[in-house]
Amino acid sequence: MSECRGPVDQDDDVPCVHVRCLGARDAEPEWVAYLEHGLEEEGVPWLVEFDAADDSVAAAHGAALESALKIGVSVHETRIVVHHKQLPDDEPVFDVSEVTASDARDLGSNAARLAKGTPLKSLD
Amino acid sequence: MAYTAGVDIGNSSTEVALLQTSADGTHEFVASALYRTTGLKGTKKNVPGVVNAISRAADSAGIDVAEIDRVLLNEAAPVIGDVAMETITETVITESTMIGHDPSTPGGVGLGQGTSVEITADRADHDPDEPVVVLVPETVDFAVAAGLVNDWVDEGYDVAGAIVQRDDAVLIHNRIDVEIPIVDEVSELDKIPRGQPTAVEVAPQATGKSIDELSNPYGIATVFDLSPEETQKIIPVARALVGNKSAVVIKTPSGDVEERTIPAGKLQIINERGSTAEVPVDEGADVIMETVMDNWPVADVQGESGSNIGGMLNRARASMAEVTGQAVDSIEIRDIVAVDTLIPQEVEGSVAGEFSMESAVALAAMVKTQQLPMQQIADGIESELDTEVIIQGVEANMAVLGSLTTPGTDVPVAILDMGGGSTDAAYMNTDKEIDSIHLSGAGDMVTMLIDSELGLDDRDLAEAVKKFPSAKVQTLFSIREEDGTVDFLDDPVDPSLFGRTVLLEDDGGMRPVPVSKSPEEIRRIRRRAKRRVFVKNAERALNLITPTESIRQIPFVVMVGRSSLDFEIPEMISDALAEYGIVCGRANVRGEMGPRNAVATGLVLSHIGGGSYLDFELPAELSTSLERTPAKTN
Repeated sequence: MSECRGPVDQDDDVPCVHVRCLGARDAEPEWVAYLEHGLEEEGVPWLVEFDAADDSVAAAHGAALESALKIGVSVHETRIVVHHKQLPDDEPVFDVSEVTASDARDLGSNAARLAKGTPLKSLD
Repeated sequence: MAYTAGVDIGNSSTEVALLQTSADGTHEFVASALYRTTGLKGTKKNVPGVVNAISRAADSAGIDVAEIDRVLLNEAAPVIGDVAMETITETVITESTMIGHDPSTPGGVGLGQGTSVEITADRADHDPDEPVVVLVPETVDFAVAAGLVNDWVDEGYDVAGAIVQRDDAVLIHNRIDVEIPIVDEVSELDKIPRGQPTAVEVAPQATGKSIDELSNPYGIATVFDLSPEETQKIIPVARALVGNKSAVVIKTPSGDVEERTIPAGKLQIINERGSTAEVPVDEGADVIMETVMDNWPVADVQGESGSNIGGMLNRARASMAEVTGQAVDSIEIRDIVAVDTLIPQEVEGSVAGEFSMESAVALAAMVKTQQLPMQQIADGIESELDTEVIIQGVEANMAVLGSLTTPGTDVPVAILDMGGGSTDAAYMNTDKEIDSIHLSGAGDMVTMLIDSELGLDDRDLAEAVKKFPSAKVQTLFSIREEDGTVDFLDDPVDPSLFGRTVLLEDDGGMRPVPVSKSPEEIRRIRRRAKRRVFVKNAERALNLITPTESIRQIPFVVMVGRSSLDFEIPEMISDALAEYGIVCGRANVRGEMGPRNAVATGLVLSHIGGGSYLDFELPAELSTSLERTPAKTN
């Protein structure tokens, strides 16, 4: 785990969705920005972390375990995984490869909605 | 060994009771079966369903169908129920005058008013002293839109609010320097007139409050400086916005909003004394029902031709005429039930799928004819199964006999047979004489009310809403039931059900309800529909059927039929009748069948004279088969 950013500082106690970017720091996928728009529109705080691990599902579950909202997301190149703390670690809520910009935003909305308890957007 | 099968052909299901008679003369029921009724009840198309149901019973008794010695049929009550809805008000909003929808995440807070302007418009064309409400189409990215709003503000314009096509309100709000209300997800933004006085309101978040200016006619009048005449016209707009978290109202020069009453046609109720009473349908259900009961017994009901009501009553007459081969004008409507209801209807000229609640009257009618062609069915079964077929008795009488096998019952007894199309009641006094009555309004009417009040437009789903309790999926692992209890699940729910209102089906499945209604609202609408139809009809039926016209005189009321299998209808009726001191409950035919199989069981008992199942002698008129149609010549 290294640096963090987002509207929530790491020392802040606000419960938030943990978003973990995998791979090298300078290769941060552009999809993270779209994901963040989805979270922001829903009004749920989030935190972006960087991690060198390469297993998307495990990273998302790890992020969920650390999130006070029980929701973790991992972004690796064009793959986004949304996980929930209580789910078995190999059964994420969403695991989408080859995401588009609107998919990424919808996944951000859904990560937020999982925390809010409102119906999810359908991905198509 | 001899085998006798009692067969009850009902509106929706065909039921069989199979009796074994041993060589020593003892009788025993060995099997029961159920199959859906094929074709319209009382027509020759019922034969395949009957044959199938009998085969199932034979299978479960472990015998061959050919071993069945005789088949007993009921003479189906010659009634058909039909339901229809008549809308009696209509809100017409020409041009885009309001947007009342509730996006899940509007931005900002408060009330803003100004002239509607495209966000990309040339600012030089606008007077900086006039406040503006900017319109953001989907082609403009939220970051660009926020930048443009800031530009307008920097140049001295008063930006009072924003209307956004995409789901971007919070994103824009977080990126601008002014605090303004923003309504988003306005799908048909291009329909909004430009250059018109516009008001945008967003309720404060996390306060549980809804908007309070635009849902108030005088609030709208204040914003747009309306005259008293104009204020009267915008009442439907204000009413449609009540309870919203956000709203937009636009004053269009030629815009016109009016609520008008549709002429809904008249009903003519003709009683058996030959006099006629006329009720306009738009006077509402109470007036209609009062007129019906004042004119009891009803000989016929006619609807004004050209109106929905007239059309519906004619449809019911026509289908009955077809079944019986009688002339349409000899078919009589013997009862109607009316219920006032509200239907959400899409507003004409809407820009984001807005709804207004329109008043309507739901009607169920019951058509009666002389007799159904039962002999044709009997002949059909006889040739299919090569066995003797006897039309053993009248449906209501057989239902009473079958119901009396319920432990704890005694005469005098009343039965309530609650089906899909009609609510039937029968009463047996201490002399074993039976009187029966058929009333319109039953399960199908409840389904129709639920369908329209929830705005589902899906009969199958409405039927499911009627049959199953609802719940809210709260987390991936828990649901909250209608009464507030939370259940934890072993396996996570499908993400598509998350946060939704679902129906808890019998097999453990969850079916989403695609309207944004809470389980509490669904429960309220469902129970109100059931109460208005079934509780009302139970009281009506029992009052009409008791010799003294006082339901207090009936000690036992037994409920049978498909709708008495419902998870809450029997208890609602028991509850309502408890105040009269009546023992009212669901039948348990033969101590094991529940409210099912009453007529089929009654048919068999009537044939064998009661056997050991009834502790009294059957009077001759209940134990002899019917000879209403000339015997078939071989």
